[in-house]
Amino acid sequence: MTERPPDVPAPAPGPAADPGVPGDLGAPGDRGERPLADCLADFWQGDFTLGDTAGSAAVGSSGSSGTALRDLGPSGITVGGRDLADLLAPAYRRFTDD
Amino acid sequence: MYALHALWRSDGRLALWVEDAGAFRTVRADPGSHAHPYACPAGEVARLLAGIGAGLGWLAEQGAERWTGLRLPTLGGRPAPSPDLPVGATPGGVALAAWRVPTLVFGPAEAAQLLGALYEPRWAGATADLPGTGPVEVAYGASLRWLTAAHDLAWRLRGRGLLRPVLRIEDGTPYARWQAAPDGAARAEAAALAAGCPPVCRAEDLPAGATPGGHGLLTSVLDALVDQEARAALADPGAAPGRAPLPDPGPGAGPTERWLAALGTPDGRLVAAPPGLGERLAAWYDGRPEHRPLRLCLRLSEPLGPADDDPDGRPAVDDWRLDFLVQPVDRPSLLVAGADLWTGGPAAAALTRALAAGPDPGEGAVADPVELYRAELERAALYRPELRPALRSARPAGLPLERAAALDFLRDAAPALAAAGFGVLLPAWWQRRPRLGLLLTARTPTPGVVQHRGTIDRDQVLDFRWQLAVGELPLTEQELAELAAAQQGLVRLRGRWVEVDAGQIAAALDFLTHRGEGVLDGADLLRLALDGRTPVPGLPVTAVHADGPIGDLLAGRAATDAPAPVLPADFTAVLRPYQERGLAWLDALGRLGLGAVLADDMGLGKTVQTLALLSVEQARGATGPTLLVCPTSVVGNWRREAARFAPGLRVHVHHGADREPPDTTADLVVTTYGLVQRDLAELRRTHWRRIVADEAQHIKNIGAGQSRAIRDLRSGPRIALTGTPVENRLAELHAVLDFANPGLFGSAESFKERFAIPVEQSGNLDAAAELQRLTGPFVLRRHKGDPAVAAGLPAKQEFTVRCGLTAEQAGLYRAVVSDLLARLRGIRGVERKGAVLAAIGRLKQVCNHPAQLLRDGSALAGRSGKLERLEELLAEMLAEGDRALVFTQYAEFGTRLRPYLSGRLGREVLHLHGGTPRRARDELVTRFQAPDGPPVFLLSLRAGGTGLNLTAANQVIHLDRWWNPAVEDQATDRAFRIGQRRDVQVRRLVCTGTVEERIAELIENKRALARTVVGEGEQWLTELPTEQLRELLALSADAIGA
Repeated sequence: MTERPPDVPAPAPGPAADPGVPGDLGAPGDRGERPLADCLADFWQGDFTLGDTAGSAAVGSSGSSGTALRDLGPSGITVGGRDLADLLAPAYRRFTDD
Repeated sequence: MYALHALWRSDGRLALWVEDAGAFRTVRADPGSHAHPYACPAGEVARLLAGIGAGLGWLAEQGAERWTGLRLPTLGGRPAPSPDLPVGATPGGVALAAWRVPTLVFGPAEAAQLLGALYEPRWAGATADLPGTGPVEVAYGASLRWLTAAHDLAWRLRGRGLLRPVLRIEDGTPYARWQAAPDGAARAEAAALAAGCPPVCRAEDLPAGATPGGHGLLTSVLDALVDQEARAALADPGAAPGRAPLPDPGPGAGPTERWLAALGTPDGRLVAAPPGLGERLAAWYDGRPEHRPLRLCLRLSEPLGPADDDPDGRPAVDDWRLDFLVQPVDRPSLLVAGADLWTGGPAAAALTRALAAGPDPGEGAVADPVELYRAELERAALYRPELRPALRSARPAGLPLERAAALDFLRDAAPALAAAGFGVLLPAWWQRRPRLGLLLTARTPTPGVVQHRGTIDRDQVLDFRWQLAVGELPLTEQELAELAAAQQGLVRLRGRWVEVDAGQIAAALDFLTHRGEGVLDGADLLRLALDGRTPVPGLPVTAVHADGPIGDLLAGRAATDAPAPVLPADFTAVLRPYQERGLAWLDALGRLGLGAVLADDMGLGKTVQTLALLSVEQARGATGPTLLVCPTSVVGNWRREAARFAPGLRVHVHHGADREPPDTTADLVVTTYGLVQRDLAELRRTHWRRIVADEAQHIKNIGAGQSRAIRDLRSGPRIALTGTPVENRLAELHAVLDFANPGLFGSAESFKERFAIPVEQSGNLDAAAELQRLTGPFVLRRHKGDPAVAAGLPAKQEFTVRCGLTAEQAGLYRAVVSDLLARLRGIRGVERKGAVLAAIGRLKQVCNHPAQLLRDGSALAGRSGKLERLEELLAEMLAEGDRALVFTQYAEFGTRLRPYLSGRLGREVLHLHGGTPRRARDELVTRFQAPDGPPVFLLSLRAGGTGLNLTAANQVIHLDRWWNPAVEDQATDRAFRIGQRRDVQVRRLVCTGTVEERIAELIENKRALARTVVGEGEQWLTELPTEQLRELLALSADAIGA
């Protein structure tokens, strides 16, 4: 099993990690895409790290700044006369306040 | 010792299973069983979870015991143990085999809680305290740890607000969902996690090709877990009061409000999808990137060649494919397949070069084509979530589609993606796809009996047969059977794809079985062919085939094959070739018992063609009167034109306050729209041989009294004459068509639904073509510019347009004449000449308008037959796209006319007169000559009659007469001169029965003399003896016509 031991810090994610092609959720590398029949040698093994991320939800700015909502700006979609972005703002505060 | 494993199943649920190390030592595998021999029963899995912690025990109770199929390394007929168990290493030679494994299965909500509880970054296992057994070691397999890592990522994405709400359709049901929206760092983390996915996580036993890759699996897991974590946060009862995160939908909430509220409900399920919300959200998230060097193109390809699994080698029907391609935005001719981006090659190299040579993307970076390609795919998936599976591939190149999905793409996705700025390449046939419809064939019933050509008996009984058809091709019995069996929306018939609806097919087959054959009469056949009603809702009547005259008519042969009738000897006009064709067409339709709409441009001779038709019919022995209905302003014109060209027709004018009852022994009775309404009862007593509606745009409003009145009259075939069959709306065309052939084109409502809305609101070319095809046999419209017409016309056509006087004009006219004659008794010499000239001037002013004589600033509308005719002419000219010069010798009257005409026509009218400063004069000319300049230019004869170049006009109207042909010609030549590219029409307006008409006739009949005696303008009139002057000036009885 090539999973890193817990005491080894995970490399900082970013371009240096060369995750492959950027995509929807980051682009897949070829290793995770092999046919199963080609994976018998490491069938039970993964290559990932479980870091202690408790509390890391606050990484970055607190509050709703930096959220997907803030980056989008007004939606132009009105619900009950108000912009959808305004109506969603309390939900994003709830997400980031937790 | 146990090993706890996890699997995210393809049904979106989490499965937990456990290997028991002891079983590897003690249990013998049953060779005939596919049950995993060393996996714990699901109940034991629950017991182990409860042993690890009370919270896990409670969650385990929420799980369902289910078998899950897994493909696992197998050796010697036994599954190999995972390395998490201390049972020794497995030697080489293993292969994958399917095993049924007992699992505890959890829905997304419980799965999120379990994975959160089992997240253990420091230890790869736990100790479970089992009742009656004591503590046992439980190793956490890589599959479980990987899923806890995925959950941890989902939890952190939610905690940072990196998610956004979407509308999803899952198995046909709409849901409000939260979806991950990772930033760059989160994307990289996810990519690394996907790349490191343990193969056992992808080991669910699925059909070939359905095994997910690590990326696809992670996308599915995050989709579910981000949504669950968001709902959990929003449902947190510990939140501060008054801070409800989402608004509560009231009882009258709309679909979008309900969607918003459903983002916080336990399952997000909706009753109905808010229309258009998906697209609007996609546009919001898309953000319309400013710099977008590459554009994604999606190309749909239909199945080609025989199906692999068909022994008869029939063509495949379900192997559609959607390919992804890219093109540089500034070089769209370079189209590169997405798959080529990874394999390299000349196309990919050219793309890279094009990007490097393109606009600077910023910060000196050269855009990576692969990165841009994936970004475009992500954008496309925002708009069409069905493209998301492509994002789960390491190298997305396209998607296979089944027939139903292909039809969805053709119908819905392609327009949406094109509107969002993506390239969409569809099979060429889609734009002109054949339609399934009904074909009607009608035949004369008796074999061997040939119906006499040239007559339609609308009551004759015909045999008919309905058939299902693609376009005009009827389907065979076998094809019908295949259609009946088809459930898909696209069916291949005769090598062409046809969009079909199973319900419609069933209804059509039922109709064909029970009512597919029978007899009908000619009138019903015409209605079926033309009015758009169909016996099977949704299936149009695509073609009607018939023999005999109806068949000729529907095939458009009635006009082209019709022989030109011989004109009687007493008909004095010589018809131009296109007028002969018009006459033949009118005659052909009339002999078929059908009405006609003659819609030639103004000036092409609708009047003379109509008179020729009536003369021909009279010469053939037709009996009974024709009623001609026209605007008041042209009553006199019809009377004179008939006398001039068709002296054999006895004409009675039913008009005026002292009118007599219509003379039904006459050949032609001329009356007005107003009188048809007023004298309807009297006119209804006669069954007219024909009714002709001149300027038929007057009956375009079918609700108006005069429209209803003329339709109430009883008659044979009707003719509508109009130069503008459609002034504003297609409904007007229906009104005219319905007058000519009542009921044949369906109701106004069905016509609107069938043609007016598709053509006017959607620009539907197919509907426009269908309209032209159906109405073509009944409408003849030629334009001045048509080569076949223009070739027969002189470059300058001149017309005298006669107008009636209103009663007010006639009274004033008589008063002026009486006053003059009274004054002439006592004066001579210069005084007499002056009195005559002044009186003639006043008479000309009366003919123009009473207000011009009275100079009282009174209203213009409704008081002058000439002004009314001028308005009609200008309206028709503008409708035909023409531009006009209007000359008058009275500048003051012109000043009043300009705003009046502008208001009536709704267009700007220019005015140039002697008082116009030179600079303003030049500006007016420049403006008029501009391509988009005002369409009407009013000029005083003196100021505008010479020296100007006004070739933008192709119509010239002389509102009043100078009686000097040279002066009038000079004015006309402002338009008819070098630089004029169109033919020019010149109209001189004269009032019937007045001095205007008499002098016009004098000039026309004795041009040589006129040049001599009239050359000096009006001076010669002053020399006439009083008695001749009286004859020249006196108002005749037919003058009042307006």
